[in-house]
Amino acid sequence: MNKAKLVFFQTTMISTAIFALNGLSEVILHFKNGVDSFNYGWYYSLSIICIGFLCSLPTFFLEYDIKTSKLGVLLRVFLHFITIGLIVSLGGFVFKWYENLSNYLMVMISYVIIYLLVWIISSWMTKTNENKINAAIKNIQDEE
Amino acid sequence: VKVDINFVQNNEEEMAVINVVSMTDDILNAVDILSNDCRQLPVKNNAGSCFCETKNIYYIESVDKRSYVYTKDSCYETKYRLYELEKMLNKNFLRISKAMILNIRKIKMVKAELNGRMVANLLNGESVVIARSYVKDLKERLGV
Repeated sequence: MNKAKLVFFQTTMISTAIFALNGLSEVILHFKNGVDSFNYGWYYSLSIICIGFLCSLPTFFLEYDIKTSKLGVLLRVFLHFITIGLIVSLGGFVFKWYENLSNYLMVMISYVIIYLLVWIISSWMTKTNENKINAAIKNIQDEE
Repeated sequence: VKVDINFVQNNEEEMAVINVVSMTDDILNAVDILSNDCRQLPVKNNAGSCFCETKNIYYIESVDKRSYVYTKDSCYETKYRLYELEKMLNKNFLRISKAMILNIRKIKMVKAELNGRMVANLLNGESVVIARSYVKDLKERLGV
């Protein structure tokens, strides 16, 4: 996958996730507080795509070399996590996504949970793939 | 192995079906012969020109528009480009990045990276990177 494709894919994924999260919070607010309509600025939808695009860029922090140490990889993941958190925080304030501090904190908590979930699920899928490939390799492996 | 030959009409496809309990070297050699796969590759090194058995090749790397063939403990140069070698070599050889073709029978084990790539540890102790976009091809080739 080339870099432009990766950025496009990530932008689509992150924007969809933000739209979905926003939709979910609206459903909760409707059934919990009886809110029937929401007012957003003219730029709201585009701001989500804009933040989605900016959040896709730190993906390149994860492009490490074969010689990178485990600590180096962990530092890159940490940097990725912090950068995306900062982009969502600052972008949210610029585009007036947050009505108050508790609203902001809720978004940040959601971000941490989603980030962890994505890593846990993708790590599990990766490990499963790795095990399947290694099992298949054993069947055809040459003897040296 | 019992050999059973059925003659077909001129307009029918010639096909060999082999029923085996497990893949042995003899069976793989038979498959190579039946598939018209290249079993030897003309190569050269400082000692001169020679033929390299394809079953001894670990990987072939392209560097500065030159193709280098790596065996367990030797390196040769071949006149063929990677796209030509892809067509010439049998199903054990798989493109794993823009610049490398790997003999999957020489993989000891693979290790998945967080960024979607995989590192293949080879039987000779070397490690090579399987690019993210080629991991799918490896899985397909191994039938997983």
